[in-house]
Amino acid sequence: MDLVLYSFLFLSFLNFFGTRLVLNRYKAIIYFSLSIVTLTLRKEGSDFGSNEALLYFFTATALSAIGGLYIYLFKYQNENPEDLNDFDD
Amino acid sequence: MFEQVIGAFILIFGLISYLVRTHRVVLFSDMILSLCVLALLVRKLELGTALAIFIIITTFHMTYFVARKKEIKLSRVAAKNKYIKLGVSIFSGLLFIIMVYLVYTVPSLPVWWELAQKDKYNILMSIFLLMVFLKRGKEWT
Repeated sequence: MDLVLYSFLFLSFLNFFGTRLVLNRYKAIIYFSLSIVTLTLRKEGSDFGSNEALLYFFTATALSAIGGLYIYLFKYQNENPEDLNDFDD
Repeated sequence: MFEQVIGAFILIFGLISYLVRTHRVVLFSDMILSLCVLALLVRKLELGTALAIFIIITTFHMTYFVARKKEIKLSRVAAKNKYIKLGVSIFSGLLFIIMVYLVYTVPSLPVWWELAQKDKYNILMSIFLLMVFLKRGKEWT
């Protein structure tokens, strides 16, 4: 469980500070919330580790990330009709 | 041992997702990472909770998949790619159903979530506004 926790923490910091893309920063929010879920699961017998609490926490965090991603899209989108179907960079 | 293997997979596929520039490879590694998280959570939590978290992560990856090429308008992408539009609609609907189920059926939440439970109408209103925003975001901005 330690390796999982440290992996999520490392990925969250890497995705947040190691990129210029805003999209990776929202992905870092998801990783960080997963690291908190993992941290909670490490503690046996903790009340915070109940299913409903974890699900509420993760849903709220993920909704904020998804919503922020869409807000960024709609706010900073540009017209570029030439590559509408070109998904590969 | 199992958790160490899962942790190694999460680290490897997370790094692949961070380093590789090809969009489909990024999506593939993200989905593998989500499956690893599901396999980890199923052993620790109830099946419903683990599946809900997995669905939320997958929803985020669908959002990410649409948003990766940020020069493209989402509405135009959805208009030209029906399966993306369908997938986003299905996952948004699933997320909405999960939230409604949680808010109206969980009888006793822990103390620090009472505020969230009292605030359930605000949560529902936020989800409703988010869904409307997905539909009408073009006109609003």
